[in-house]
Amino acid sequence: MEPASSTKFLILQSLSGNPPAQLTGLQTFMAEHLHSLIAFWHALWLMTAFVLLWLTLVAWKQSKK
Amino acid sequence: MNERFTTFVRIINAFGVRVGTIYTRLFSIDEIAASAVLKWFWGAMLLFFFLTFDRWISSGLTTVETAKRGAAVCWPFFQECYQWYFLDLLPSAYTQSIFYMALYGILLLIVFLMWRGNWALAHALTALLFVWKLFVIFGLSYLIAGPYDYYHLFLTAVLLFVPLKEYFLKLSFVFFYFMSVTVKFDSTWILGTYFSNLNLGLPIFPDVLIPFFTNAVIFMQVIGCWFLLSKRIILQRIALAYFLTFHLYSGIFVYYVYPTIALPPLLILFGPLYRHHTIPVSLKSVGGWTIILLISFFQLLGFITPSDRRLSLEGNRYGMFMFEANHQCIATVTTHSNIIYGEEGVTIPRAGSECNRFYCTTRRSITHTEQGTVAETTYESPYAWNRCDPYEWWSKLHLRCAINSTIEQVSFRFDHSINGGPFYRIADVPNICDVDYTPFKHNEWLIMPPEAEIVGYPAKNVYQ
Repeated sequence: MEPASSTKFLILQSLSGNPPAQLTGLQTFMAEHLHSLIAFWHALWLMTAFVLLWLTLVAWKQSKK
Repeated sequence: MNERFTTFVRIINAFGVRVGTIYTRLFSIDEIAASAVLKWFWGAMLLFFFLTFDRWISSGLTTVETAKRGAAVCWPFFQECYQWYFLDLLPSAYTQSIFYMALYGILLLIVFLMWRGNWALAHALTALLFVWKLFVIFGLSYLIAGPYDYYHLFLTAVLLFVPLKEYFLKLSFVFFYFMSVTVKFDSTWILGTYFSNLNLGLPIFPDVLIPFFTNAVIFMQVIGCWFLLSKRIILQRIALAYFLTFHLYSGIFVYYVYPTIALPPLLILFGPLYRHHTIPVSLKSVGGWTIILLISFFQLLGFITPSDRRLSLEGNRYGMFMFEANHQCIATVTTHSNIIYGEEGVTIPRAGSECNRFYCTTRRSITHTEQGTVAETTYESPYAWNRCDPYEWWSKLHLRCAINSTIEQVSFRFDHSINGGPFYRIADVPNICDVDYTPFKHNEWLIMPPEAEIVGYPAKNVYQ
């Protein structure tokens, strides 16, 4: 979808070699543990998916009785 | 003669009633007739059809003129889609306006039929709108849809086609949250660098709180959303209050369109008329469970390609791809033609010049040689929500090569930064007319880090 008209473009300091954007203290700390955090969220998501699947199977078994 | 005509009309009538009865039973339309929730929901889906066609009536993305200019972008699996374009936009023609005003008329007719209780005919007309939208989104244009359109299609499909509609609408809606969170398991959301690299940061809240909010969103989409289906009313209401607040807040970025596919369904399904359902597992529920599986499959399609899809955008349009990364990019296109055209020189728009497109032209140079003309144009996109998709460039430039016989070579360079990270040169192709794009596998001409060269760093940008 096209943006609204009259949008002004910004000059990017793209090739100036300036350092990358700064992270806050908390972001820096979390960045050091990023792999663990990613693994945590993946694990939580998978566990939730399994629990939901189990609940659905329980419902199916109960409906067969 | 009169008697024969009366008998004929009676037979047609009886046939119509029989077809109507079969049609009603086939699509469980009686469920809608008997349910206030489903009637309201139907209204919400019609509202989104209205918003969709309001966008599309003035869009040039699927017009004959766009196809002639070589600017059409089709899906990788159907790259000749522009041959199916048949509408045109003002000032070229009235056809697109006429077509979408006819659809507007159909929308009004559906509302009238619903008021009269003629559910089967209203259903058939809504199904027509559904089929058209599905065809446009997956057949005619790679660019025209956003994830909110996918929500709309799935929800409308459940409403129209499967039994146990109320349960599966609720489950689908919650399942969208659960599946769409799969694109948030990286630095974009875990560190919150999507928002900390915006000039304005997060609305209302300071940058230091960004990771709290972004991880809270992840938690609510993994775990919290399931409480929308809870039989414990307090938990259900807490979940509802959270998601209402979330979508209202998100509208500060995304404006009206996305909240309109989220908030009315949320209120209708989980608000004052909410009731708990037990999980249905019967022959009747096969259609609904099939749609749930389709949502999963569609989301997981986006992960098939073995590259960082936030940088390469390979597979990005499959599944719900909201806020997957804050993008900035620079595209440089050098066209070698065998004719002389244009005035030699370099044009650089003044800083702060108006820019109405996703990509703003920041430099254009034309050089005349003995062989013809070399035109180099640089485009920049500072808008976080513009996906910086190399496939879009490949498609347009490839079409340009195909329809313009004076073009001999088009070189393409693409520098892409996500979440305030370095600009990586992910494409540097001497002649893009010679390279192919294959869906569902990594395209070798797209270079990923660490092989991709760092060419610079971005300033903070804006959302749109």
